Amino acid sequence: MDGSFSTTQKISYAGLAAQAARMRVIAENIANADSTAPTPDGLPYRRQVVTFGQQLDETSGTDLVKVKDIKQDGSEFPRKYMPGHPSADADGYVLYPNVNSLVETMDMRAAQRSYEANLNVIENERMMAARSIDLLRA
Amino acid sequence: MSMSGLTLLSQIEKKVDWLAARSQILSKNVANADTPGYRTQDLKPFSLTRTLQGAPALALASTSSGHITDSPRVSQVPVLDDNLPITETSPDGNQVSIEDQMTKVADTGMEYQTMTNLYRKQLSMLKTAIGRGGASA
Repeated sequence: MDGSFSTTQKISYAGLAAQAARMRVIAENIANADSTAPTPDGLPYRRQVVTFGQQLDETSGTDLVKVKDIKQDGSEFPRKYMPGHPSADADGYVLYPNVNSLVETMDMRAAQRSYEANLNVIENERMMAARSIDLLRA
Repeated sequence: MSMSGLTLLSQIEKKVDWLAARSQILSKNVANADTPGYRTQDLKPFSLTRTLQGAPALALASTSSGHITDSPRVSQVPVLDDNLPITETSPDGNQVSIEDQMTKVADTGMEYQTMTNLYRKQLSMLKTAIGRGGASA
Protein backbone atom coordinates (compact mmCIF):
# COMPACT_ATOMS: atom_id res chain seq x y z
CA MET A 1 0.00 0.00 0.00
CA ASP A 2 1.67 3.17 -1.13
CA GLY A 3 -1.28 5.52 -1.36
CA SER A 4 -0.39 6.55 -4.88
CA PHE A 5 -3.12 7.98 -7.06
CA SER A 6 -2.53 5.58 -9.91
CA THR A 7 -3.00 2.54 -7.67
CA THR A 8 -6.19 4.00 -6.24
CA GLN A 9 -7.50 4.63 -9.73
CA LYS A 10 -6.60 1.08 -10.72
CA ILE A 11 -8.66 -0.29 -7.82
CA SER A 12 -11.66 1.80 -8.82
CA TYR A 13 -11.34 0.91 -12.50
CA ALA A 14 -11.33 -2.77 -11.56
CA GLY A 15 -14.54 -2.08 -9.61
CA LEU A 16 -16.07 -0.45 -12.70
CA ALA A 17 -15.10 -3.40 -14.88
CA ALA A 18 -16.55 -5.90 -12.41
CA GLN A 19 -19.86 -4.05 -12.21
CA ALA A 20 -19.97 -3.73 -16.00
CA ALA A 21 -19.51 -7.50 -16.33
CA ARG A 22 -22.33 -7.98 -13.85
CA MET A 23 -24.53 -5.68 -15.93
CA ARG A 24 -23.73 -7.72 -19.04
CA VAL A 25 -24.86 -10.93 -17.36
CA ILE A 26 -28.03 -9.23 -16.10
CA ALA A 27 -28.73 -8.03 -19.65
CA GLU A 28 -28.29 -11.59 -20.86
CA ASN A 29 -30.76 -12.82 -18.25
CA ILE A 30 -33.38 -10.21 -19.10
CA ALA A 31 -32.97 -10.77 -22.83
CA ASN A 32 -33.54 -14.48 -22.33
CA ALA A 33 -36.45 -14.15 -19.92
CA ASP A 34 -38.72 -15.94 -22.42
CA SER A 35 -36.25 -18.25 -24.13
CA THR A 36 -37.96 -21.60 -23.91
CA ALA A 37 -36.47 -24.83 -25.19
CA PRO A 38 -36.88 -25.48 -28.92
CA THR A 39 -38.14 -29.03 -28.29
CA PRO A 40 -40.52 -30.49 -25.66
CA ASP A 41 -37.76 -32.53 -23.98
CA GLY A 42 -35.23 -29.68 -23.87
CA LEU A 43 -34.53 -27.24 -21.04
CA PRO A 44 -35.11 -23.48 -21.25
CA TYR A 45 -32.50 -20.77 -20.60
CA ARG A 46 -31.03 -20.99 -17.10
CA ARG A 47 -30.43 -17.80 -15.16
CA GLN A 48 -26.77 -16.84 -14.57
CA VAL A 49 -25.36 -15.24 -11.44
CA VAL A 50 -22.08 -13.33 -11.11
CA THR A 51 -19.91 -13.73 -8.03
CA PHE A 52 -17.07 -11.38 -7.18
CA GLY A 53 -13.71 -12.16 -5.66
CA GLN A 54 -10.33 -10.54 -5.21
CA GLN A 55 -7.13 -11.10 -7.09
CA LEU A 56 -3.67 -9.77 -6.38
CA ASP A 57 -2.41 -7.35 -8.99
CA GLU A 58 1.33 -7.85 -9.07
CA THR A 59 2.32 -4.55 -10.64
CA SER A 60 0.66 -2.48 -7.92
CA GLY A 61 0.81 -5.07 -5.13
CA THR A 62 -2.80 -4.59 -4.19
CA ASP A 63 -5.94 -6.72 -4.40
CA LEU A 64 -8.27 -5.86 -7.23
CA VAL A 65 -11.87 -6.94 -7.51
CA LYS A 66 -12.56 -9.45 -10.27
CA VAL A 67 -15.51 -11.43 -11.52
CA LYS A 68 -14.68 -14.74 -9.87
CA ASP A 69 -17.28 -16.92 -11.44
CA ILE A 70 -20.44 -16.85 -13.48
CA LYS A 71 -22.59 -19.57 -11.97
CA GLN A 72 -25.92 -20.96 -13.01
CA ASP A 73 -28.96 -20.49 -10.86
CA GLY A 74 -30.13 -24.00 -9.95
CA SER A 75 -33.66 -23.02 -8.97
CA GLU A 76 -36.68 -24.72 -10.55
CA PHE A 77 -38.13 -23.65 -13.87
CA PRO A 78 -41.67 -22.29 -13.65
CA ARG A 79 -44.28 -24.25 -15.65
CA LYS A 80 -46.93 -22.55 -17.71
CA TYR A 81 -49.97 -24.20 -19.27
CA MET A 82 -49.71 -23.48 -22.99
CA PRO A 83 -50.91 -26.48 -24.98
CA GLY A 84 -50.38 -24.83 -28.36
CA HIS A 85 -46.72 -24.03 -27.67
CA PRO A 86 -44.22 -25.99 -29.84
CA SER A 87 -42.23 -27.09 -26.77
CA ALA A 88 -45.22 -28.05 -24.62
CA ASP A 89 -45.05 -31.51 -23.04
CA ALA A 90 -47.78 -34.19 -23.27
CA ASP A 91 -49.86 -32.44 -20.56
CA GLY A 92 -49.60 -29.06 -22.29
CA TYR A 93 -47.07 -27.48 -19.92
CA VAL A 94 -44.06 -25.45 -21.04
CA LEU A 95 -40.93 -24.92 -18.92
CA TYR A 96 -39.95 -21.25 -18.73
CA PRO A 97 -36.55 -19.79 -17.80
CA ASN A 98 -36.03 -19.24 -14.06
CA VAL A 99 -35.54 -15.52 -14.70
CA ASN A 100 -37.58 -13.13 -12.62
CA SER A 101 -37.57 -9.72 -14.32
CA LEU A 102 -38.22 -7.96 -11.02
CA VAL A 103 -35.19 -9.59 -9.38
CA GLU A 104 -33.04 -8.75 -12.41
CA THR A 105 -34.16 -5.13 -12.37
CA MET A 106 -33.31 -4.83 -8.69
CA ASP A 107 -29.93 -6.41 -9.33
CA MET A 108 -29.35 -3.99 -12.18
CA ARG A 109 -30.11 -1.03 -9.91
CA ALA A 110 -27.66 -2.36 -7.33
CA ALA A 111 -24.98 -2.76 -10.00
CA GLN A 112 -25.66 0.76 -11.23
CA ARG A 113 -25.35 2.16 -7.73
CA SER A 114 -22.02 0.42 -7.19
CA TYR A 115 -20.80 1.59 -10.59
CA GLU A 116 -21.65 5.19 -9.75
CA ALA A 117 -19.96 4.89 -6.36
CA ASN A 118 -16.75 3.79 -8.08
CA LEU A 119 -17.04 6.70 -10.52
CA ASN A 120 -17.40 9.08 -7.59
CA VAL A 121 -14.26 7.72 -6.01
CA ILE A 122 -12.36 8.22 -9.27
CA GLU A 123 -13.65 11.78 -9.52
CA ASN A 124 -12.61 12.51 -5.95
CA GLU A 125 -9.18 11.03 -6.58
CA ARG A 126 -8.74 13.15 -9.70
CA MET A 127 -9.68 16.23 -7.72
CA MET A 128 -7.07 15.38 -5.10
CA ALA A 129 -4.40 14.86 -7.75
CA ALA A 130 -5.35 18.15 -9.39
CA ARG A 131 -5.02 19.97 -6.05
CA SER A 132 -1.54 18.57 -5.63
CA ILE A 133 -0.55 19.69 -9.10
CA ASP A 134 -2.03 23.14 -8.37
CA LEU A 135 0.55 23.53 -5.60
CA LEU A 136 3.12 24.04 -8.33
CA ARG A 137 1.36 27.27 -9.24
CA ALA A 138 1.37 28.58 -5.70
CA MET B 1 17.35 23.29 5.85
CA SER B 2 14.98 21.76 3.37
CA MET B 3 11.39 22.77 3.02
CA SER B 4 10.22 19.68 4.88
CA GLY B 5 12.35 20.82 7.80
CA LEU B 6 9.64 23.35 8.57
CA THR B 7 7.35 21.78 11.12
CA LEU B 8 4.06 22.91 9.69
CA LEU B 9 4.91 21.97 6.12
CA SER B 10 6.20 18.55 7.13
CA GLN B 11 3.07 17.92 9.19
CA ILE B 12 0.90 18.88 6.24
CA GLU B 13 2.93 16.52 4.08
CA LYS B 14 2.31 13.67 6.51
CA LYS B 15 -1.36 14.39 6.70
CA VAL B 16 -1.56 14.47 2.89
CA ASP B 17 0.22 11.10 2.74
CA TRP B 18 -2.25 9.76 5.24
CA LEU B 19 -5.22 11.12 3.26
CA ALA B 20 -3.93 9.57 0.03
CA ALA B 21 -3.47 6.21 1.76
CA ARG B 22 -6.95 6.46 3.22
CA SER B 23 -8.56 7.27 -0.08
CA GLN B 24 -6.89 4.19 -1.52
CA ILE B 25 -8.42 2.03 1.21
CA LEU B 26 -11.81 3.64 0.69
CA SER B 27 -11.61 2.98 -3.05
CA LYS B 28 -10.93 -0.65 -2.24
CA ASN B 29 -14.00 -0.76 -0.01
CA VAL B 30 -16.20 0.75 -2.71
CA ALA B 31 -14.82 -1.55 -5.41
CA ASN B 32 -15.59 -4.53 -3.16
CA ALA B 33 -19.07 -3.36 -2.22
CA ASP B 34 -20.47 -6.62 -3.66
CA THR B 35 -17.69 -9.09 -2.89
CA PRO B 36 -18.96 -11.84 -0.57
CA GLY B 37 -17.27 -11.89 2.82
CA TYR B 38 -15.37 -8.64 2.28
CA ARG B 39 -14.64 -6.77 5.51
CA THR B 40 -14.59 -2.98 5.49
CA GLN B 41 -11.20 -1.41 6.16
CA ASP B 42 -10.15 2.01 7.33
CA LEU B 43 -7.09 3.70 8.78
CA LYS B 44 -6.64 4.72 12.36
CA PRO B 45 -7.37 8.43 12.68
CA PHE B 46 -4.46 10.72 11.94
CA SER B 47 -2.94 11.90 15.16
CA LEU B 48 -0.31 14.56 15.43
CA THR B 49 1.19 13.21 18.65
CA ARG B 50 1.52 9.71 17.21
CA THR B 51 3.23 11.20 14.17
CA LEU B 52 5.66 13.08 16.31
CA GLN B 53 6.35 10.11 18.55
CA GLY B 54 6.72 7.79 15.60
CA ALA B 55 9.36 9.96 13.97
CA PRO B 56 12.67 9.50 15.71
CA ALA B 57 15.11 12.30 15.09
CA LEU B 58 17.69 10.28 13.21
CA ALA B 59 20.62 12.09 11.73
CA LEU B 60 22.79 10.62 9.03
CA ALA B 61 26.40 10.05 9.96
CA SER B 62 28.68 12.17 7.84
CA THR B 63 32.38 12.08 7.24
CA SER B 64 32.65 15.48 5.65
CA SER B 65 31.00 18.80 6.33
CA GLY B 66 29.85 18.88 2.71
CA HIS B 67 27.57 15.90 3.19
CA ILE B 68 23.87 16.33 3.59
CA THR B 69 23.06 15.63 7.21
CA ASP B 70 19.43 16.53 7.17
CA SER B 71 17.42 13.95 9.06
CA PRO B 72 15.57 11.66 6.70
CA ARG B 73 11.91 12.22 6.39
CA VAL B 74 10.28 9.45 8.37
CA SER B 75 6.89 8.94 6.84
CA GLN B 76 4.28 7.79 9.26
CA VAL B 77 3.12 4.41 8.09
CA PRO B 78 -0.66 4.56 8.10
CA VAL B 79 -2.06 1.93 10.43
CA LEU B 80 -5.18 -0.09 9.70
CA ASP B 81 -7.88 0.24 12.31
CA ASP B 82 -8.79 -3.17 13.71
CA ASN B 83 -11.94 -2.27 15.62
CA LEU B 84 -14.13 -0.56 13.12
CA PRO B 85 -17.79 -0.29 14.05
CA ILE B 86 -19.78 -2.51 11.71
CA THR B 87 -22.65 -0.54 10.21
CA GLU B 88 -24.22 -3.32 8.22
CA THR B 89 -23.54 -6.88 7.15
CA SER B 90 -25.34 -8.38 4.18
CA PRO B 91 -26.29 -12.10 4.12
CA ASP B 92 -23.18 -12.91 2.04
CA GLY B 93 -20.93 -11.52 4.78
CA ASN B 94 -20.12 -8.23 3.03
CA GLN B 95 -19.76 -5.33 5.44
CA VAL B 96 -19.52 -2.41 3.03
CA SER B 97 -22.11 0.32 3.32
CA ILE B 98 -21.79 2.47 0.21
CA GLU B 99 -23.35 5.53 1.88
CA ASP B 100 -20.86 5.28 4.70
CA GLN B 101 -17.95 4.97 2.30
CA MET B 102 -19.08 7.86 0.13
CA THR B 103 -19.26 10.11 3.18
CA LYS B 104 -15.72 9.12 4.07
CA VAL B 105 -14.54 9.68 0.49
CA ALA B 106 -16.05 13.18 0.49
CA ASP B 107 -14.49 13.90 3.89
CA THR B 108 -11.10 12.78 2.67
CA GLY B 109 -11.38 14.97 -0.42
CA MET B 110 -12.33 18.00 1.64
CA GLU B 111 -9.53 17.50 4.12
CA TYR B 112 -7.13 17.09 1.23
CA GLN B 113 -8.24 20.44 -0.17
CA THR B 114 -7.84 22.03 3.24
CA MET B 115 -4.32 20.69 3.49
CA THR B 116 -3.24 21.82 0.03
CA ASN B 117 -4.74 25.26 0.67
CA LEU B 118 -2.91 25.47 3.99
CA TYR B 119 0.30 24.49 2.25
CA ARG B 120 -0.21 27.13 -0.39
CA LYS B 121 -1.00 29.77 2.22
CA GLN B 122 2.09 28.88 4.21
CA LEU B 123 4.23 29.16 1.09
CA SER B 124 2.80 32.55 0.24
CA MET B 125 3.51 33.70 3.79
CA LEU B 126 7.09 32.56 3.40
CA LYS B 127 7.29 34.45 0.12
CA THR B 128 6.01 37.56 1.83
CA ALA B 129 8.67 37.07 4.48
CA ILE B 130 11.44 36.89 1.91
CA GLY B 131 9.96 39.87 0.13
CA ARG B 132 8.63 38.52 -3.11
CA GLY B 133 5.12 39.76 -2.62
CA GLY B 134 3.26 36.52 -2.14
CA ALA B 135 0.54 38.34 -0.19
CA SER B 136 -1.68 38.56 -3.24
CA ALA B 137 -2.18 34.78 -3.33
